[in-house]
Amino acid sequence: MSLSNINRRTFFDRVSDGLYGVGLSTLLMQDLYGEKPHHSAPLPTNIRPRRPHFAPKAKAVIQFCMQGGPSQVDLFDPKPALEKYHGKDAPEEFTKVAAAGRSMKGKVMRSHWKFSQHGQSGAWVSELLPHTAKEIDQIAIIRSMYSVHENHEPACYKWQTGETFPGHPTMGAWITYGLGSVNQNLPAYVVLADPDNKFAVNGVENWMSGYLPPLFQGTSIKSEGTPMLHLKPDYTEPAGVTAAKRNLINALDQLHKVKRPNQPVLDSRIANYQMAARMQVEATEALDVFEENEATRVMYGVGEKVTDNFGKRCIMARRLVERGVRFVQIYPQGQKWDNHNEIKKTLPAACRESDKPCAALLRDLRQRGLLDDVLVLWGGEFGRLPMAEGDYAKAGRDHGPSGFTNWMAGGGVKGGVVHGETDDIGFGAVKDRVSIQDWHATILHLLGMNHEKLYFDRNGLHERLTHTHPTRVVSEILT
Amino acid sequence: MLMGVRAFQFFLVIALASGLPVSAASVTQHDAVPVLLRRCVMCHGQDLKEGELDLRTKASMLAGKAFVSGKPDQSKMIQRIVSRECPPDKTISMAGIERMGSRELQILRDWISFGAPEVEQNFERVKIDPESRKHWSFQKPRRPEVPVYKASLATSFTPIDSFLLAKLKEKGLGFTSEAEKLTLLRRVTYDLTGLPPTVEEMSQFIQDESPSAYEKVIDRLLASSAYGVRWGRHWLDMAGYSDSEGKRNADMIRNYAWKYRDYVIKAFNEDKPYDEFLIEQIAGDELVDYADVDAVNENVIEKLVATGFLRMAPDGTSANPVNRVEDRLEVISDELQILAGGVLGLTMDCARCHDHKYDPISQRDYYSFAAIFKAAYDEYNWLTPQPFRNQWAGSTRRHLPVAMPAERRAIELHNEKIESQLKLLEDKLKSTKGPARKDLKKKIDEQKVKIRSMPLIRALWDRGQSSPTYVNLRGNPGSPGVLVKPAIPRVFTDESFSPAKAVGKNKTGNRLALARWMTDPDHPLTARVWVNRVWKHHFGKGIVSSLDNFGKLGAPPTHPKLLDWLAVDLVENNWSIKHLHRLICMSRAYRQSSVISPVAAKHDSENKLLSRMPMRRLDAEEVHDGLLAVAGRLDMRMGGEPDEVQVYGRSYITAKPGESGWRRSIYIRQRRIHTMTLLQTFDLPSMNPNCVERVNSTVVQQPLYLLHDKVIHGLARKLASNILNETKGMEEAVILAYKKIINRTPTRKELKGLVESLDELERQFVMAKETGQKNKALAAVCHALFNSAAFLHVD
Repeated sequence: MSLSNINRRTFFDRVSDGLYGVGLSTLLMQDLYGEKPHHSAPLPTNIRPRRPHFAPKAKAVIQFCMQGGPSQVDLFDPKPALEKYHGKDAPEEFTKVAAAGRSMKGKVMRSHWKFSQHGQSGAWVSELLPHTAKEIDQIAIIRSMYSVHENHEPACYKWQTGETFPGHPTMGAWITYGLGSVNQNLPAYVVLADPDNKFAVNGVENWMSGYLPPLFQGTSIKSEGTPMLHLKPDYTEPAGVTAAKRNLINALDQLHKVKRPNQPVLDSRIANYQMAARMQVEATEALDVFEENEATRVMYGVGEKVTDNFGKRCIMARRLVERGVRFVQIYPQGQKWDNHNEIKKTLPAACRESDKPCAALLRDLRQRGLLDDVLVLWGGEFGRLPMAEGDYAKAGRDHGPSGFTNWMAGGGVKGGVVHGETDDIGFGAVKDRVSIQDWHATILHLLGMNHEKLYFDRNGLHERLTHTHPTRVVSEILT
Repeated sequence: MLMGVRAFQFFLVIALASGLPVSAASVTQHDAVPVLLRRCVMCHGQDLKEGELDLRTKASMLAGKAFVSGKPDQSKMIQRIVSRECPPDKTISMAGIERMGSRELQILRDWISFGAPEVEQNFERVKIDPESRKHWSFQKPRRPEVPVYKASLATSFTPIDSFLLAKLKEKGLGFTSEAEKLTLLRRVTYDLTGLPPTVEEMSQFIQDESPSAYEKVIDRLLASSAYGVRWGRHWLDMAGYSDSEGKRNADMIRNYAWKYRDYVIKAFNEDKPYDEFLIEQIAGDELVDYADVDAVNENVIEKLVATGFLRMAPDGTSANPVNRVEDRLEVISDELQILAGGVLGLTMDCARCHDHKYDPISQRDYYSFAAIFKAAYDEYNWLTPQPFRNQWAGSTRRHLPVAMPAERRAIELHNEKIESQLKLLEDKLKSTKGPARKDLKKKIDEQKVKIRSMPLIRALWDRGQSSPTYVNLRGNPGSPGVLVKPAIPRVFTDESFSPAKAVGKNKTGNRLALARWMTDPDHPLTARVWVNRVWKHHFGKGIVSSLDNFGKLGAPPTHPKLLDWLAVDLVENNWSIKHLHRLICMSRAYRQSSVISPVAAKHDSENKLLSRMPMRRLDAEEVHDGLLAVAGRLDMRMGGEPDEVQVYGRSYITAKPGESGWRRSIYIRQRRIHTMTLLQTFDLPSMNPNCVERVNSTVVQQPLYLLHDKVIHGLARKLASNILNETKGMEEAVILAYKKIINRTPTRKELKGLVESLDELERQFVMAKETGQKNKALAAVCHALFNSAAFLHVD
C-alpha cells in the first residue's frame, strides 16, 4: 500500500485497527508516554506504527543533509551591504557574537552571484539555484539559524543529535522511535549516502541510534549495485538450493514452535524471517528508478552526468516515502558544501549536483499530492562567513555558525515564507533566531510530537532530542 | 545553611553584573581561587610552577609576589592578565583553557582591592531527614528465615526455591516440570561459558546417571577458562570496557585497556572474592608501593591494572578543542556514575546539578563523593589519555611505566647499549660532511627505533594532593558554591570521613577508605546490587529489575527476602561468586523447563514469579563464538592485545582471522566505532559510557545477516566437511550436524525433514551441474540449522 493511498484518517485507523490490534498500539503508547515514566519501560523493539501526541501535519520526512556549510550570503540571504564593506575588516558590531578566540582575519567579500526575486512570494534566490527558485513558493526559508560550534565534527553532532559529541540518538532515530513505520517490509529510516562511500564528516555516526536500540538507526542503502548490506547473498548458489533451504528453515521452525506454545519471542522471530524474505523483494522494487517513466527521470536529471546519481537518490527517496518509510536522508559526496577554497568554482559545483534534483523532488511530490504529507528539509550544520578566506582571486569562505540559512517545505510548512534575519553582512542571526533545538522541536511538532514528551528513560534520566536546552517551536512558519 | 550560601552566591553574581558596589566581606578567597583554578593553575599549580609561582592559595600567591594587597593595578597577576601576557596566546587553547572573562577579572580585582580577605569555611555536615534513611535498600540486609513447605522439603529443592515457591503458592502456581537433560546442558553451558556444549560433553552427561551428574557439569564449567570470558564480559559491560577513547569521531585507539580486560577475566576465573575485586578496582594503587621499583612484582602490576576500571569512560580530552574543564568534568561524572550506578545502585549523577529529587542525596553529597577521587581525578590538574599532535607541552599522560625488576633491568641494559652506540654515531655525524651524512642519519634512526620503553599501565593513581572541591552550582564549574571535603553520602553515615592507610608514600588513602566502606559486610547496597546482577544474567531479569537504581524510583524487588538471603549468603561465603553461581544453577527454579503451561500463561504472564525458565535469544557474542565453536574455527587463545577488525566500505566490519580461526569476541578490538557488524546486528551495545542492561532486538538485519553473509556460509561449508570426515552415511552426518548445532538429537519428524531436504538439496546441486554435491548439500543443511530458531534460542 502506498502512502498516496493512505490519508491521515486511514493512517490512524491502520495504527489501531485489526492490522496490529487495538491492544498492541495502546500498549505501545503506554510504553512511550505512560503514566509511570520513571521505571524503565520495556523498549518497543519493533517499528510498528505508533500514534503521535497530536494530529500530525507530516507523515514522512526527506532531509537533504547539505553537510559542510552552504554559504547563506551566496544562496538565500542577499546582503547588499557586502558591497560597502568589501575588502575591509568586518565591523565588530557584527562579529562580536562569535565565540571568543575565533580568528577574524579575512576581509569582507561580496557575493559573486546575482540574486533575484521569484514566485508569488517574491523571495530572493541566487542565480546558482535556478531550479529551486522555481519552487520557491513551496518553501519556507529560515535565514536566522545558528549553531554552537564552528567545527564540522561537533556541529554535525549538534545538528543530528542535539549535543556536540557522539553517543546520542540522531533525529531520524528519535523520529522512528516515536512513530515507528507504516511499512514493515522496509527499514523505517533510510540513508541514501554517496554511492562511492565518500561520506561527509562523522560518516555513519550521522545516522546512529545512540542509546536507543539499533533498530532505530538509519539503514544505509546504496543507489548503485547491491542496495543494502546482506539484502542478497554475498555468495552464489543455485536458486533451487535457496528455496529448499528456506523450506527447511520454515519446517524446522514450525516443528520447534509447536512444541513451545505461548512464546512470543518465537513468533516474532518467525515473522522476522518472513519479513527478511519480503524485504528482498520490496526493497529491490522500491529502489528501481527505472520503474519511473522517462519524463520523470529527465525531470530529476537522471541520465545527465552531473545530476544522475543525486537525481536517482531523489527518486528513490520519493518511492520509499510512498511505501511508508518514515525518514529518508540524502547526503552529498564528502564535504561538497565546505567551500574554503575558490568558492567561485566549488559552490556552483555543489549547486549543480543537487539543485535540479531537489527542485524536481518538490515538484514531483506536489504534482502527486504528496507534499502535504511529506516534510522536506534542506540545509547544513552551519553556514559560512561573509568574509574571504585566502587570497581574493581564489578565496573561499570559512565556517559560519552564528547565522545561516536552512529551508523546509511541505508537511505543514507555509510556502513562500522568509523567517528571521541576519545582520547587515550576514554574519550572525539577529531577528527571530532559530537554534538547532528549535529546529528539531519544529520538525517533531510537524510530525505530531511534543519534543518534551518524546523521551527515553535512560538510567532514570529522561533523554530528549532537545535535551534540556531552552526550546521553542517556530510556529511562524507552520500552516 | 546550604541555601544561604547559594543565595549569597547568586547575590554576588547579580551585584557584579550590575556594577553595584560590593562590600569587602563579600569577596573572599572562595571567589578568587576558583577563578585562578580555571584559568591559571595549569601553569602555576601543583605540578607546574612556572616562574616559581603557585596560585592555589593566598599564602603561595604572596610567596610568589603575585599581587600587592589593596592595589590590583600594581599587582603582577592582574597586569599580566590585562596585557594578555597570561595565559599565553600560543598555548591557551592547547591547555584547554579560555581567556578570563571580565566578570572573573573583576572578582580578582575586588578581592585584591579589599586586601585579599580569607574566611574560614565551616564544614558543618548537611542535616539529614531521619525518615529518608528508612528506604528499604538503605537497611542492612539480614538473613531471613527460609520459608518451609512440604514441597520444598524434597532434597532437590534449595533455599532459593523455597522463597520462590512461597510467592508462586500465593497464586496457586508452582514450578513447571524439570528440563530435559540436554536442554539443561545447553542452557547451563551457554550461560556459564558463552559457548555450546560439545557432542562429547553431551554424551558424557547423558551416560552419567549418578545423582551428582549435573553438579559435576557445573563444577566443570566453572573451572573452565571460558567461564571467565563469559562472566568477565558481563562485568566489562557494566564497566564500559572499550579499546578506544570515544567522544570524537576519530575514536582513537586506547592502548593497554586490554590489560584491564585480562585482569577482569582472570579475577572471575580465580573466583576472586567480590570484596577484594572491588577494592582492587577502586583503590589498587593504594594497596601497593609501586614507586619502589625493585619491589615490583606481579601483585603490584595486577593491583595497578585493576584501577583501569576507573579509566574506562569515553574521554576526548587528548585533543585540544575538547580538553576544557567542562569536558574533563564529563569524564569524571561518567566514571562516578559507572561506579555509583553499577556497584551501588545509586543514581548519584542526578545530584550533579541539583539535590537529587527523589533520593536523599544532596548536591553537596555528590561533590563530597567526587572529592574522594580528587587526588586522582583533578579537573585542574588533568592527566591526558594519550599523546596527540599539537598537545600542550605541560600535559602529563595517565600511563604508569611499571615493570618487573628483571624486565626493567633488561630494558635499561638494552637501552644503555643503544644509547652508547647512538652517542658514537651522533658524535661522528658532527664531524661528517657530504653524502656520508645521509647514511649516518639513517643509521641513527635505525638505532633510535630500537630503544625500548617500559611496559605501560593505563591506571588511576593517587597523587597525594589535589585542588579544592567546590560544589558546582547547576553543574557549572563557573559558578562555584561551597567548599567541600571528601565524604560518604550523608544518608549512609553519621561519622566523618577518615582516609585509610595507603601502602607507599604520598597517597591520600581516600579511595581506599571508600572501597573499604563499600565492602563492609554490613553495607546495605554492595552485596544486594551484585547478587541482583548475577541473578539477572542467569534468569533474564533482576529481582530488582532496575539494575542500577535501588533508589526510590527504582523498581521494588519482586522477592525482597530472597534478595537479602542471597546478599548475606554471598558475604558469609567469603564473597565467592562461584558459590553464588552454584547456588543458583543447582536450584530447581533454574533446572525447570521453559515450557509455559496455560495456567502460568494466565497467572504469571510476565514470568515475574519464575513459574518457568525464560526462553532467551543468544546474545551477540554467543552467536559469534557459538557458530565458530560449532564449525571448529574458534581459536581459544586467552588474553593479550586485541585482534584487529577489517572495515569494508565503512558498513561491513569483520574480525581478522588468524591461522587457527577467530578468537572469542571479547578479544577482538572493542572500539566505540567499528563494531563488528555481526555483533552490532545482534545488539552488542556501544559503550557510551557503559551498558547497564543490553537490549534484545528482533530486527530484519539479523536473518539477512545469517542467511546472506559469506563468512557464515563458509562456516557451514567448513562444518560439513568436518562432519563428512567423522561419519559414514548421510543420515549419520545429518544427525551429527544437528547435535553439534542444536545440542540435542533430532526428533523423528525433524530427522525425516532433514533427510528429505538433504536429498532435495543434493538433487538441486546435481541439476545445477555443480561438483561435490553431497558435501554442498550437507553444508546447506548446516546453513539452514544456523538459521533455525532452535539454534538462536536457548530453552
